[in-house]
Amino acid sequence: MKILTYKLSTALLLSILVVSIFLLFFTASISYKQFESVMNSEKMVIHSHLVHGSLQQLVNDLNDAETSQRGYLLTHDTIYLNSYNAARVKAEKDFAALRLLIRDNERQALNLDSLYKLATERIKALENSIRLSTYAMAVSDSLRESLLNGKEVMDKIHIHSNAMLSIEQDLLDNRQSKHEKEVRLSPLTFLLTAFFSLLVFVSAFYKIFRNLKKLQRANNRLRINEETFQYAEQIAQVSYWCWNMEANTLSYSANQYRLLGCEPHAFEPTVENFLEYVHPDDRHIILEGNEKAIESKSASRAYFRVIRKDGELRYFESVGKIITDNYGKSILIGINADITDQYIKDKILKDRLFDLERSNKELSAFNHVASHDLQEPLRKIQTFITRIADKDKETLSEKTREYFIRIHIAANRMQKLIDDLLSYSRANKAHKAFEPTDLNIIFEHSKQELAQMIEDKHAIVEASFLPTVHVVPFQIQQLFTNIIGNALKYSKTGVQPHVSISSVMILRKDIADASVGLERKFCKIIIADNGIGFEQQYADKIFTLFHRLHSDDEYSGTGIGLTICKKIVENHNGFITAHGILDKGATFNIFIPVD
Amino acid sequence: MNDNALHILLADDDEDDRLFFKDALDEVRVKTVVTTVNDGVELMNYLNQPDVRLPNVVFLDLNMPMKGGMECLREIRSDNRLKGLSIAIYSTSASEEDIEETFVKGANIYIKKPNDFNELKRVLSEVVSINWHYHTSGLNKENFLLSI
Amino acid sequence: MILQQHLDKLEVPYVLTGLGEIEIKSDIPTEQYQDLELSLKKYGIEIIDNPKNILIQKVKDIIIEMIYLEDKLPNSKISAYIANKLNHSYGHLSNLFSEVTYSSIENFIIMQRIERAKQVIVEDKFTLTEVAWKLNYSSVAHLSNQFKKTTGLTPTAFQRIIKKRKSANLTEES
Repeated sequence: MKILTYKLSTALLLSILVVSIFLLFFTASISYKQFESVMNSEKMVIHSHLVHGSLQQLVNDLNDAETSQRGYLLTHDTIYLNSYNAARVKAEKDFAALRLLIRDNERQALNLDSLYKLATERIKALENSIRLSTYAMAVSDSLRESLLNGKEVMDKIHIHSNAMLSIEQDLLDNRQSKHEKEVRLSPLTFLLTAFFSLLVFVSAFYKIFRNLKKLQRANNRLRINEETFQYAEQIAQVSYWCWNMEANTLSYSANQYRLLGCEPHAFEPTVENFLEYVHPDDRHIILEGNEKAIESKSASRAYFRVIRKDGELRYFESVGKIITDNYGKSILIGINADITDQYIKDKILKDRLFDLERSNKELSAFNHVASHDLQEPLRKIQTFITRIADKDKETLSEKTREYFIRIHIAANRMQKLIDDLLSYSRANKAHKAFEPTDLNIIFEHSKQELAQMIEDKHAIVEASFLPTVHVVPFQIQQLFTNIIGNALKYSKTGVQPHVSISSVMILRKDIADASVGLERKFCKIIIADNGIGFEQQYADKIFTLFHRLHSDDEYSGTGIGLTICKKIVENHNGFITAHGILDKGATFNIFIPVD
Repeated sequence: MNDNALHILLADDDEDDRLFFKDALDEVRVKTVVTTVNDGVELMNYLNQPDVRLPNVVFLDLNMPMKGGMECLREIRSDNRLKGLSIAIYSTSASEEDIEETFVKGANIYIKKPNDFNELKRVLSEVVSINWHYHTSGLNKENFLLSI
Repeated sequence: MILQQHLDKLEVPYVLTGLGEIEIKSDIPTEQYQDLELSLKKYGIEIIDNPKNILIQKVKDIIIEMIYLEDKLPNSKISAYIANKLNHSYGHLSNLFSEVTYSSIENFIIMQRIERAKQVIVEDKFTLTEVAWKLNYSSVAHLSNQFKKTTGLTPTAFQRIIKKRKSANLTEES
């Protein structure tokens, strides 16, 4: 399960945010600017319209004045004089208004001044004409002149005002087209802004969405884990706890409570509450264990007893370790396991083992001492008997002498038996040193030990090259000498005894006989002879203690020799088998494990 | 040569064994003078007497109370004055390992107490005569090892 | 030479007649003789003045010479060889030997051979086969056999013990 780590640090996120905000502001300001220019151009257009209108109004007013003047001139009615005045005043006002409007345009302002001059001239002419007309009934020449003058001025005014109008018109057209352009651009910039904002939002959203999805998945997995773990906890009888040391908050898994015999979350998770359930004598172990985990920064293990809510005593094992969480805080986490079952089993095993070892030791000691202490009196009996038989040979009756001989033989037999028992108990002694031992040297030594018998029987005893194995030298020596000695002892009369020894490495799976240990590879030593052999059905029996296939008259022996061999081989975690064919010979296979 | 008797010292805590030993040696052809002590402490005391005539051979039983044979062996072999003694371990049977161990620790002879009186005579005769040979023929004492 | 020194000191007339042999021309008073014996004993020199003993010593010397000085010794002809060398019958020598030393010539030979074998084995320069050949044994088995009969130990056991002894001594001294 991967824990998704987000590599985005806070700083990076912040800078992205700042950049995004900046860009957003930027585009917003652009839009705003756009809007402003649209507003502006509109204002301009309106302005132009206003100027245009005002100019027209002015011309109209002047025309009105003229008309009124004409009316007066015709009728000499004061009504027309009033309207003429009104028009004149209005014209004045119009000029004032225009002046206000046009003041930003210098050229037009100048034009307006010229117009004003002309208008003033016209008015003057009008006034003049009025005056003239007032004083004379007929149309005088001066009146006609004044009227003509007036007309000329009026024409100029018209021309001038038309020029102004056309200028204003041009301006208007200009501004209009600009306005239109702006209007056309506006949506574009708006669109762009909107698009960009959308992009930012969408990508932000997308990222958040993705992260959210990841989190959800992680959460899901976490949840599954949690459930599995809870389940596993219960089955394995473990629980976990988590101690945030800085915040001093402790949390338990549900099973922790169950392990203590309570319902989950039965009490508040604190160290004190937990210690209530720990055996008084072991409470210090918990505290020390925690300290050790904090100090050593590696896992620390502790064993303690717990008294469950129902009063039952259980054995717990606790492992604690310091980890650092994603925030850099040190957390002490740990596992508590109820190992009572295992503990009890172990204890039983240990006790049994102890008993077994003790009983073995006693047995061994008994065996050894018994054999040893039995030998002393027996030896003396034999010595005294031989002394008597020797010293007072003449004075003894024939029968008595014979009895003494038999006593001696019987005592000898007992002696041999005790010797072999002693040998057997020695073979039993464990804790001997294993060393790499060259079996060829062992073989040579055996031949030397049996040199007399070999010579007496003119036997051939040979071996192929033998390996070096990890064994107890003295015991293997005894083993070899015993088996080769046996081979010579049980030779066929009249046939030259031939004993041959060979070895081969063999794998466990290739061994026909069962009852093998866990070892994989064995060194198989084969000792074959051409002696009297034995029936295969007795192949296992011959290794049993005191079991013999022949009476003492035929072949002397105590029936312990092969048992000792078996014991020695078993000491080495190996095993021994025998194969015999009656009257043909016998083969002994010794398997010693090699690693 | 046959005027010089061989001085023999036996340390054995068993009365019967001491009896056998003395009787057997009586019947051996080589002339011997036998002294017996009952345990290791007596043995060392005897040997450490300032003007004692050191025996030619010391027969040492292994299982003795207070001070056992091995301990005596160690003490004798580490004492310069006694270094040259021939020491025969005279004991009931032991494993080949243990026998070798006594040789390594400095014994010259290991005798397994026989259970036949005649055998005992033979063994003692052998030991005594071999020792005498070593004594008279200038053989290498360091290589003097005999296991009977 | 120590012997000469001593004899000169005692003003005893003598003649050297052979290896380890001196004939004293005149009689020496017992006391002087005993003094001489004692002082020589300090040097490990023993006076053998009994004719029987002298002969026995000669037999021993011959045998030792055979075994130690010659690399290959004649086995079967030893009896004849000795008899010839000393100009006595082997039977006579044999009886005399047994009477004085309580052991037979054969035993003595075997003992010396094994003694030599021990020496060579301890040197640790040769294998057992080579040792057997050197001492004129017909086989290793033969040597082992005799070795075991004589000492009760096998040659390898013997070697092992001597080695262990030596290493034990070394650790003691260090």
